[in-house]
Amino acid sequence: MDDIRRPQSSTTPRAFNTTPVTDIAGVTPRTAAPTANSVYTAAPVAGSEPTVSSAPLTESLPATSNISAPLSSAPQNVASGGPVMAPTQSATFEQNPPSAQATSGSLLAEIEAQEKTESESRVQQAPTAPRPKKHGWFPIFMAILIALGLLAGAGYAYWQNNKQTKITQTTKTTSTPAATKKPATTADIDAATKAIDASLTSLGQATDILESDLSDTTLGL
Amino acid sequence: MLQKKISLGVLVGAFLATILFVPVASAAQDSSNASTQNNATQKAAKLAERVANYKTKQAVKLAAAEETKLKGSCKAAQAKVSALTTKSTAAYTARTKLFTAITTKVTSIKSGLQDAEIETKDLETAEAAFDKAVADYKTAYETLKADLADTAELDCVTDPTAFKAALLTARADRQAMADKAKTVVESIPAIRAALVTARQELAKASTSDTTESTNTGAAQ
Repeated sequence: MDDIRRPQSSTTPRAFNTTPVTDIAGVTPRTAAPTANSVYTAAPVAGSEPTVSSAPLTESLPATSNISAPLSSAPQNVASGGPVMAPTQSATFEQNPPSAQATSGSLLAEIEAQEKTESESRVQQAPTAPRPKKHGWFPIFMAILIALGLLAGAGYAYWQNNKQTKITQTTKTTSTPAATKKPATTADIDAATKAIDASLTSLGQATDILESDLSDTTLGL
Repeated sequence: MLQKKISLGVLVGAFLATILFVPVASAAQDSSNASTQNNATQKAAKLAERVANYKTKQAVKLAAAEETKLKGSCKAAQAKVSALTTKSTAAYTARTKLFTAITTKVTSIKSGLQDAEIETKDLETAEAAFDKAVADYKTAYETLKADLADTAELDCVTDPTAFKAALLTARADRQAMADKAKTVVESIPAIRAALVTARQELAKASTSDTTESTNTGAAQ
């Protein structure tokens, strides 16, 4: 995304030095990695359209990838101590060739279209975030059911605990009887005797069913 | 979306709970019906058993004319017997209330006498006899109550012999209950006597305490 893009139509394609390489110092610039803004325009070969690689658009790609083999072979020869080969026609770059200038606009448009297509394809091909797996209602239902069960269990446990505590408290309250002695007096006994006499009188007046109540005559048998 | 799912889950849960509850409720209803039927069957079986027992006890043998007469008049008699059951229950409730009052009084006095270090053995004996008489009276009442209920409930038209036997049993048990009630009443004077004795003991003890304290004061 952060690709460094070259300036568009305002930039004139830079060409390599066309001077034949005669020494090492002269060779080095040819093999050096091009800057981000540099565009290599291949020399037009007779009967063919100049080809422009899209690779130099990105800074990360090595410049040598866009240079034809004879150019890149020169430094190798230099490095190995061999003779420096003169550039062939295909390896030379003409400065602002009229045909290249004429087609540069359409080429740029083509490149832009290609870039656009590529970026679109890149966007399309970009790995999308995995879509969340579709779950049915069953796990939700089960979760609710379990939650309700846990709630009920907790409530029951709390209730039981409360109940037990209350019972313990009640037991504690009732298990402390007053151990005071209350000796009876003659007056108490007199009162009790009187109450019993009254009960006896009442018992005598109790109207229970009599033998006659169940007789054949009373029942009409 | 989640809310939709939750609401759907709750709905399905409620539906499932209803579906699951239906057989449970149905089974419970069936069980209840079966239980009611079973209870009715058991009740009828017990009544038949008691009626057979009445017949064995009383050995009633009705003449044809007497049987016919009973078939015609037993229904009215059964209504009167039902009213007697109410009367008996009222008398029983009144008696039981008095018995409970006496027991409470005796228990309280006994405790006070023990605190005053007075001998309570006689009172305890009288109380035990009273309690036993009360328990016997209660049993006799329950027996009479069952007799009266059976006499009023059984099918006297179909089985007049059973009605007669149940009635005779009720008469006997009424007498037994009256005897038990009399026993309870008769046990009360013993309690009264024990209380009088205890009072004398208490008075004697308090007099000796006063004398001792007076003598001690004079000596000092």
